[in-house]
Amino acid sequence: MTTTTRSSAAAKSRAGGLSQTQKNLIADILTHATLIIVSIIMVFPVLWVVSTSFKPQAEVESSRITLIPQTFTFENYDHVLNGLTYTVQERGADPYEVNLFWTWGRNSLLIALITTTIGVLLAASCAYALSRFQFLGRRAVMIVFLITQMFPGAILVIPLYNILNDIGLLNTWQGLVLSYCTVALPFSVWMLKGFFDAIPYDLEEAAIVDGCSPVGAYWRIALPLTLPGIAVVAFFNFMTAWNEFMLALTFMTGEANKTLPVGLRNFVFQFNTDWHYMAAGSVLVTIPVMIGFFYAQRYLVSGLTQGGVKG
Amino acid sequence: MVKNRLAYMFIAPAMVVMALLVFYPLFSGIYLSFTNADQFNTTRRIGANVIPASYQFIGLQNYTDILNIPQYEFWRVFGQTVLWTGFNVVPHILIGLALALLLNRKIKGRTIYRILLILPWAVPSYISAFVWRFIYNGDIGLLNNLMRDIGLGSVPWLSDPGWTMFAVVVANTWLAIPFNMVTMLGGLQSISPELYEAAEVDGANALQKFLNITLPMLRPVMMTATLLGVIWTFNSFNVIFLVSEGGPARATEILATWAWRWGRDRSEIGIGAAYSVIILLILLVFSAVYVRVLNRRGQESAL
Amino acid sequence: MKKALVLIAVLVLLLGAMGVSAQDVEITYWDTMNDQERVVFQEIVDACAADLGITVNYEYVPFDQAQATYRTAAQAGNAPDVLRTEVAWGPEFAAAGYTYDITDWVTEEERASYLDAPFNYNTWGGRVWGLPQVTDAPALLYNRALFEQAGLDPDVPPATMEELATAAAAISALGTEDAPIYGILTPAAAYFFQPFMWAFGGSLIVPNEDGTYTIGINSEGTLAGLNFVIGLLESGVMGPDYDPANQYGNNQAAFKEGRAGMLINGPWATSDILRGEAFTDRANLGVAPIPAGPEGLQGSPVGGHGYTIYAGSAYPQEALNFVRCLNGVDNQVRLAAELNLVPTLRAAYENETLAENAILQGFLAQMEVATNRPVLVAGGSIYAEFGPQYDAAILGQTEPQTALDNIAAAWELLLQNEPTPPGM
Repeated sequence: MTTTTRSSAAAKSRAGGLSQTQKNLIADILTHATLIIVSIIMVFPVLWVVSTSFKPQAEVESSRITLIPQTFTFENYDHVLNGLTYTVQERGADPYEVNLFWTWGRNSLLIALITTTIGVLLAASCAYALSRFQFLGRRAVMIVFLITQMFPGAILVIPLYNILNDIGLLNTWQGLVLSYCTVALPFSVWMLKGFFDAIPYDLEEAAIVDGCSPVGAYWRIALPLTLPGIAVVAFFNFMTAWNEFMLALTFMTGEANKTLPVGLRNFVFQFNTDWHYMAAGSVLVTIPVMIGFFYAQRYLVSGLTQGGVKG
Repeated sequence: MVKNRLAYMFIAPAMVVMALLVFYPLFSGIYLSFTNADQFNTTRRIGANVIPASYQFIGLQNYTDILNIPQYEFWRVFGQTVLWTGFNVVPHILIGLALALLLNRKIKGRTIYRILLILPWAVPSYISAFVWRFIYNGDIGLLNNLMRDIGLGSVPWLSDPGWTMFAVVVANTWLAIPFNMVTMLGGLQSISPELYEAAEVDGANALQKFLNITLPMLRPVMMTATLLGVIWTFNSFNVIFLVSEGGPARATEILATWAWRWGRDRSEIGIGAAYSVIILLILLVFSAVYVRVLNRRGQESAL
Repeated sequence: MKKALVLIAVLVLLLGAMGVSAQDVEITYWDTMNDQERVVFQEIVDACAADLGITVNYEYVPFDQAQATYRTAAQAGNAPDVLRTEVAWGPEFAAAGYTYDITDWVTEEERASYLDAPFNYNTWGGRVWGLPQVTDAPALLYNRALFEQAGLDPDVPPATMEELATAAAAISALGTEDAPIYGILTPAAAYFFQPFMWAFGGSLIVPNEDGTYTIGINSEGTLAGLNFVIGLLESGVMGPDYDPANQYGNNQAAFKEGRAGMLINGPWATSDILRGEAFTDRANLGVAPIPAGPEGLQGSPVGGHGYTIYAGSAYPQEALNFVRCLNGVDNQVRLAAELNLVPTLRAAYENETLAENAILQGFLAQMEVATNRPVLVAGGSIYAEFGPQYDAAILGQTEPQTALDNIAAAWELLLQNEPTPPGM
């Protein structure tokens, strides 16, 4: 904010005269034009799903495409929200019916929130050590984190499955949460290390001199100072868990255990897709993220300003 | 020494989880790449009945097979992966930088633009991929309908090797712009305003300020973003898997999806693992060279 | 004292054994059927669970992921007790030891109650690994109203490939530049190209008498079939332009909307087709055997699904009884009547309601002239190479002969690795 305010004000006062103002006006118009065009491109696919989600199936599959639904229907939403049910049969209990979409949503939300919490805690303490302490193997840890990003994740699915099976975490949300934490961890650690690097060590030192333990200094002084960074990393962890498909598909069986990404695949069949349901489901999955996003986005930018991907 | 022990305490939780769920699978993958493992000879625990593994160590044979037997199509897929990565990362960085520069100007409605431009970030990537595939559909897709309406005729978005590569790159760029833009914006906003003010005193114009202050100051961020971008794009799975399915006729298959086809679809576990190790080696060599070149130029490196 | 302990132990065991009543039997069933089919099937599953007094977890696994997901689960001891198994997966699962050998439980009488071809798909190495649920083969589906508009007799569908080309030309002439009508829809994948291959004398993998196999995919016949399809595409009577990732859905959409005269697809597609505006009157959907080639040859790939039982199941016997219930004559008749799925039980065909289902009868006529594929472990993997090479040939990226030779070369490797059935 301040950067541009100051510099453009300074520019005006020095260059003076109409020509500079005109130049600025032209630049502003070009800036707006470019940003409007790019914004449309970025938003359009999202609007297109929203439009599709209100169309009846025949219109979705039609060769005569209209941007706005000709017949406006809530049927797709009704089907996704209310039409998917499953009878849970538990030993010794009467079978009961659950609404699948809400069940998947609850699973996804639970898993994403717990992943975010654990992921941030793991990453923060690891990043703190890498930033504050010199120790044997520090550089190796940094490099190893980078290397894990180089191995295609998809190929680790089966070994990971076998390990979770061995430790009894298969088909449990705990297993999925741990897996997602590891997926998000390397990038989270890198990010947070940048944030800790940007904070002077003096404050913690002073606290330790005053009798605070090193852990206390980390927890009560360093961590609160990196809140914008924590926000960025939390968002990253949440999205990792909320979006993931392949691990959830392989690890979680049973209709009532699925997450939303896997559940939405119920609209994809042997060869084709029920686009109208898929669209409604997609909108419903995206809405909660969007809401959170509107609140989080200012922290994303300010967070990346302070720490950033500086390595 | 006390510091050391404390440091290990801090990294221990993360390392234990990583060791169990990442390093162990990774090393077992590397080991399997030297064996003839497939689903008929790996350990199978079927109820109470355990069939022990009977695969054998075959040295480098998987690697030589991949490089020599035409069915493994290594060189073709490698070439496609390089194109895919290059076509993606360059625009990601350039468009991200351009948008960040525009957003960094003091203009009205900046916050609204910023929200709209990072919107794709909030859409789960598997949903974005499905939407793009729907938009690219040759017959009932939105793009071709619009093109036909204005008399331009259909484009084989997902039926022609060149067009399909273009289509998946556009979809992936759409997905990647928010991250790159925000990263660049972060970099721009952390440049000290005093630098610009000093330049103005010296009478520098906008272009000079950009070349002499913005670019050099942004360089560390850009270089790290490029390295991460290359690594992630090289291995990125969702867009290709869900938009083009590697088609038409494998024209957009990249090493990561190709390793998946062998390792999982065809259950040739040894071959799939060898492909993964090859990917790892390529990226290791690339990163090492990249970092070394940067260091030689006296820049602060990523590591 | 010792005796007393033994007595107590025996008592505990006995009580424990009595405790395992049918109520405690829990069976997990993985289904791959589509949305409309599952609505009907859920009722069948519920009824069987109630009849047998067992608990059934009825779960859906996306078809395209089912084979890989099952493999992973099976080798770790977690597979479902019962899987709806595509016929091409059966030998692979049996060879890997995933599925239960039910040979000794299936009596001669039970075996004879099934049609030979679908039952044969559930055997491998002389053993029985499953029971067939449905059988199928793509047939020629056509829009009767469009036939009439084009001056064709909807009661006399094309019987030869030549007639098919003529009919397609007549129907596509109904379209305009802005609103094209496709005479026949482009085969959606290599699988749907196979009828053309067989009609012109080509083949996949043919077993020889000495136990070896001959690869016929790069024969002159297959090439002629491929060139016939390419010719139809180039003449403009076949469409829309091939889009491998979306073709199946585009074909369904065009056919449902009345934008195409003919489509080659299987019985599983009919419940979706009947939702289309062109088929609100189901009598408008004609089903006929795929036309014969120049030398009178005809073919269509016999596919289908069976039920297999996991070798690690805690209740294999109960699982088999559950399968038998799902596969009861009444249930097969119901699937046939409501969803046009082709039964595998001989007795189902005696039911009179099936005679009234014209769509089903059309598929039954197709089954008479359909082609069985060899039951090989490699059978589950042949399309991995066939598919992309077919796509390349249809899109003009590879010379047809080169594409077919590439497939043959890849299949040589596959057959070299074919596992030998145990005891053979």
